Amino acid sequence: MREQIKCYDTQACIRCFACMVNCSAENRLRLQREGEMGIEKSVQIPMPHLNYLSPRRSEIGMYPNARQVTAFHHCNHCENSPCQHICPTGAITTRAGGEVVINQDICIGCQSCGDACPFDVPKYSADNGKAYKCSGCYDRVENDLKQSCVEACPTTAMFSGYKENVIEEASKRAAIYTQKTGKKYVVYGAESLNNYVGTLKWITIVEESDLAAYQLDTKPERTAIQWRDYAKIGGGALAVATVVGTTAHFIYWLDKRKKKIAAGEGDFHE
Amino acid sequence: MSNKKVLAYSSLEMWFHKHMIHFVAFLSLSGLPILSDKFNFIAFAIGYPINYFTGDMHSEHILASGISFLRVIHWGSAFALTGIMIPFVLSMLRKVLTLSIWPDRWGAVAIVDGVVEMKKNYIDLKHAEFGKMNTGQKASAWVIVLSMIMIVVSGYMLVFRSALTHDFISLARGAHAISYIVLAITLLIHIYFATHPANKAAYNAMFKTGEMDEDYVKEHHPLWYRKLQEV
Amino acid sequence: MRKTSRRDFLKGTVASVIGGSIITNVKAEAKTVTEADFGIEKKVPLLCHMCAQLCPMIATVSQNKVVRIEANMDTPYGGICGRGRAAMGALYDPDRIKTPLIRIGERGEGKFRKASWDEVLDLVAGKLKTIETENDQKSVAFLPRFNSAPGLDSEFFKIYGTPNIPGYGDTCFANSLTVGLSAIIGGKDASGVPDQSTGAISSDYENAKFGILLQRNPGGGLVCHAWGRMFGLGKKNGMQIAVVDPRKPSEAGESDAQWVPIRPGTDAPFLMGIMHEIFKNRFFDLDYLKKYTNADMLINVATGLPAQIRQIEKEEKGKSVKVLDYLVVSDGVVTFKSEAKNATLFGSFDVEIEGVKIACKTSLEMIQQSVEHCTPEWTQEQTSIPATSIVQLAKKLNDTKPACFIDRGYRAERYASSLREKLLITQINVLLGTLGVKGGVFYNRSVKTAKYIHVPHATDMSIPQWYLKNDPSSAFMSDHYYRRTWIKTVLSEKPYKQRVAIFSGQNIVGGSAGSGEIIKALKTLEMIVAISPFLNETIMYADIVMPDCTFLERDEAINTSYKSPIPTIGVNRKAVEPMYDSKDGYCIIMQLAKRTLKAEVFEQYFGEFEREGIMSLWKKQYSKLSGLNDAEMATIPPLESILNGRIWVGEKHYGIKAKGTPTGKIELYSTYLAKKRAELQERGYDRAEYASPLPMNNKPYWLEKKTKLANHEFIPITGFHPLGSFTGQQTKNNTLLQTLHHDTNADAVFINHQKGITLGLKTDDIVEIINIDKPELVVKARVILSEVVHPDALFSYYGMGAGYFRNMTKGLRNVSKIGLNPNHIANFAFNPLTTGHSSQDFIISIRKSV
Repeated sequence: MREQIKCYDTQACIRCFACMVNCSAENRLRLQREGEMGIEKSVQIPMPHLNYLSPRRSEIGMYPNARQVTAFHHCNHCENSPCQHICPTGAITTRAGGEVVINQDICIGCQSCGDACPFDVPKYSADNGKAYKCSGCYDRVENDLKQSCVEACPTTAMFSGYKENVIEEASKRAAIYTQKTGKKYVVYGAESLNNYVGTLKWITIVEESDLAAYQLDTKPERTAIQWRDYAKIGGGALAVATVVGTTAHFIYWLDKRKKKIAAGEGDFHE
Repeated sequence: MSNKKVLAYSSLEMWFHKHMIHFVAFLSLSGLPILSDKFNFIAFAIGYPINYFTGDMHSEHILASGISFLRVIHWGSAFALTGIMIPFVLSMLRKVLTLSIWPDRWGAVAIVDGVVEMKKNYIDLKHAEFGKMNTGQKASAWVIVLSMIMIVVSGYMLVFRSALTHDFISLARGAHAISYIVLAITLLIHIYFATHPANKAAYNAMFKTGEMDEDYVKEHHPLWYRKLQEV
Repeated sequence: MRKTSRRDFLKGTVASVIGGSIITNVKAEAKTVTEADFGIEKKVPLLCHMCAQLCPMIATVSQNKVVRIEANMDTPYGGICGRGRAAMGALYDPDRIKTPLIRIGERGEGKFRKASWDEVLDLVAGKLKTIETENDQKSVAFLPRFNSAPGLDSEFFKIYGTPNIPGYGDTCFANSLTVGLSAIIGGKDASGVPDQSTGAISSDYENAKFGILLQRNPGGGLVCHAWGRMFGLGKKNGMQIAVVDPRKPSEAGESDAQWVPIRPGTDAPFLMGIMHEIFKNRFFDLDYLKKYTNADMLINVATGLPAQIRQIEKEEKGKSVKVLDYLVVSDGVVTFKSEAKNATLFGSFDVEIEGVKIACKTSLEMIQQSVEHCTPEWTQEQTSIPATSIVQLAKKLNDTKPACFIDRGYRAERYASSLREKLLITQINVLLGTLGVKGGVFYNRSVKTAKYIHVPHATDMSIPQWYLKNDPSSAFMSDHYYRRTWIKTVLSEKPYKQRVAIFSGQNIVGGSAGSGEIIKALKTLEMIVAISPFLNETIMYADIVMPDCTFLERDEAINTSYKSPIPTIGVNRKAVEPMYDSKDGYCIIMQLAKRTLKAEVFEQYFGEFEREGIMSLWKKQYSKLSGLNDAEMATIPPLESILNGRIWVGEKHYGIKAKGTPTGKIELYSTYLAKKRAELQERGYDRAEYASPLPMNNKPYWLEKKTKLANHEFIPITGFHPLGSFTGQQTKNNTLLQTLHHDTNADAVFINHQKGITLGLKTDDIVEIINIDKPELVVKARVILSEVVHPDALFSYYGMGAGYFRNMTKGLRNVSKIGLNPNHIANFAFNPLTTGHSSQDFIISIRKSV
């Protein structure tokens, strides 16, 4: 199983939301496949937590030099997956194909993953006390099918495949857009963003000056969570040092006490 | 040698301290596996009997059951601890100005003197010029109080997370862990000294009588003794 | 294939412990993965009816349930949008009409009782038979939409004896879009009006360098197969887009799409401004105009008609065709075009015809002069578009021509000036030499199947035929899309009384402007029958309701009409049996026919279908395909393969030619319009200039009423929501789409931010909206202050709000209870000549709801 990644191209997208609908539909089919709920029933219940891909719309600029921007909000399947790192039960794992997934049967709903995620991705369902996020359709991918969002895209604005091929195609497209529009287009997430997340397995072709507009964070961080990690390392070391220190002191104390008693300097209350 | 006793701890303080130990122990045991997988053995120990009954002996599920159970303990203990904290904190606040946590003297020189006195006591094993609490104790009291406040506040932020933004919750998650780590280290030192044979009098005072011999105080906590005489 | 399932990390049984309280939930053994788990138990070809475009798709059926929808990729333009992907949500919608219903309350109240199929069918057939005995079949109207029984339904009503099958296209594209193209390129004769389908031409998005979209959101009003896909691929190829629209549609692009906000309804002066720049800078394609158009035609300045014409025979593809020959000036000599070598394109000439001196100009000269006053500054005043933008857009068209286009869209009927807008678009595309050229706009090709039933000739004159003849304001109306004119007939009884209406899928109350008058008309009818899977506004007024199944539950006739560059053959097959007590359209029509027609008549037309079922229809249709070349015919697969989901496609052709104009040329100066205008002037029609072959600044109604809007007044503009479809509950009440409807504020109204602030409004306030002509109809909606809306416009997604007549929302769990549907409060107005609805051509006033 080689690593596969996805790419979203903001330029070729016609904002038809087919990807998002298909994601929601596929997740309902999963419920049926797992014997939890038939499709006939599940399409009658909204279940927003099954929309792993959502639009987040905002407006940029002021009339008449204004436009609406539809940011795609989804799991980026980070190389260094902070959610996986923090998950206490090991419910989050990275599959051989690179998908970072939550095993709902092990998830206890502590929501640590959501706190660690710099992209605010894992969604908690109060209905059943579990966290949900995009699984990269690894079940489909491992059966040689495309991810449901990719499969849904009528305009090839979403595509996927082996990492090097996807990055090659994305870079090619970015170069064409840069040339035709005269504005610089970049491939967000193809290169490591920082140590906290690393590279992304869902990359985005976007005009560079629109990175913020599309809510693509170039410095995705959770400072407090990073400090927590440092504190864990430091705390471990300090705890060891404390135990060693106190033990040493106790031995020293016993020894000194013995000597003092021997020297008749006693008078220790015990 | 007189048999005069000095009241070291009120019954409320003793009661609170005793239960605090239970709850902090519960909270630590139940929180540690969430903090770090180094402590997963605790969760396994809890999860194993649970899953023995449900018949699911898959190790990941044992861990999940254990942590789930521990979360219940953690939440329960946290609420109980908050409950008993209320009378304690109120009573402390009533006499906050007379507490021993305040420095006997202020300034850098005082701190240096305090450290010198501590060395005298702990290294040279000589009687030092201590108040009821020495400089180290005062410092650790502050660390404990502040880290406890942090833990409680961040803990409740995590409980009421739906009212907060993602940034705040993440901050709370970090603060909860970091302040716990600081607290835990401080507690290790605290426990060491508390259980140290040399401090048996204080130990007994805290856990048994609440009182100390006046002579002992005079010898080991001369500053406190003088203060008591002044009153 | 099929190596792992999602459950593979679970071995053995599963106990999950849910945080807080401990609940053990012992699940069954993780089952082995079967083919059904990946849904390849059965694949059924469908043609998507979630909107009206029939994009080919595939349903996966597992255990007799439709579990997944995918695009049928057996075509170069394969692709479906989010509506199609959500078809399961429509199929399994718990709010579907489950049994036949008979009204028990007042019309409009929405009170019904359950009935049996026999009861409702007998009631309707009984009424039809009574009317037949009175020899008044023409008083019955059948109003079909796409979800009925193609090949059988309209045919039954024609056999029964009514000539009136009012289609719904006059609220959509008919007839502005049609005449706006066919007046210039020609078309088939439809009761005297040249006809072209909505899918006659495509903009060549994939190969274009630049294009201008007017009032069109390509992702929302999608036609995913093939236009949506072509558009996206075009963007991928670096196509640049400028959007001239009162509201910026995200679907056209967000980072790289120029937005040119325009005052609602002023597209005509904008296009005239562009034309002015084209002439001023000689941006036109002289060779193209010379070779393919009648730009050289000498026009009699006084009459606007060709100076002189004669009929000649011309060889075309080995056939002799009759065309009009006209006068031109060639090398300084006046001569007929067929004899001219080098016709002049510009100039004024005095021509002596039969001894009379006539002042003439070439048609190009006349067109040029008619836009001479349309300077960028003039255009700015009319449209609120900065003069610099006009200059820049015209230059960009020139820089990229012929690989550029002005998109004609397909939803046309909005303003009184809609026909003019469409004519100007075609004229500019011709001037730039882009029509028929790669990267420009080109002719789609299509294939036709054989007719299953040849219906007898109608004995009565149909309603449109009467209006075309007697009403000058209806001179360009469509003879098959005329439901609004039908309402006019119901109200006026001209040419005759209407007694029974059978709506099959049509929602005229929700979907056509002026619902108040429409309801008034409906209430006068003796019987209203509605066939539909879902509740809608019209059903509230029906006496008898028959639950139609959805397209997923029925086999349908082979379909060949697509908005695609290439001829395409596909079919919709039944994925699952009809749910509840619903029946498919063919079944309903056969039952009605059986109960209504005389036995021998039934046998003559429907006997075969009764015995062999739909296979007889498919066989007949497939027996004769026309419109294809020999190479294409050689690739036609056996019928079975189409029935199994193969989409047959033919070739794409570029090519510059007219499609049946009187002169055989692309008529930049339409001789059809010239003739009609003269006729209309003679008949004393006051808006005869709306038929002018020359660019004219025809005004929308609202500008005739007020040139400047008060601060609280707006023009209600609409655009399709990418996950909405007219007024249809298949998308609106679809649970699969609910979260996304919510995320995109599908039911809100959007106004300009600054203007909203001056009105003391803020986002999420509830406002009351009225048409200033109908202040009694008050609609409430949630307002959003937006930077991407023109200050004169109030935008709402078409058909997504509850509107005024919202009784039916009670039975629909996901439908918003508030929101604007402009049709409900619109004036019952008709666009001049085309009779389309003026859906956005009125003034509304808003105030904060308290």
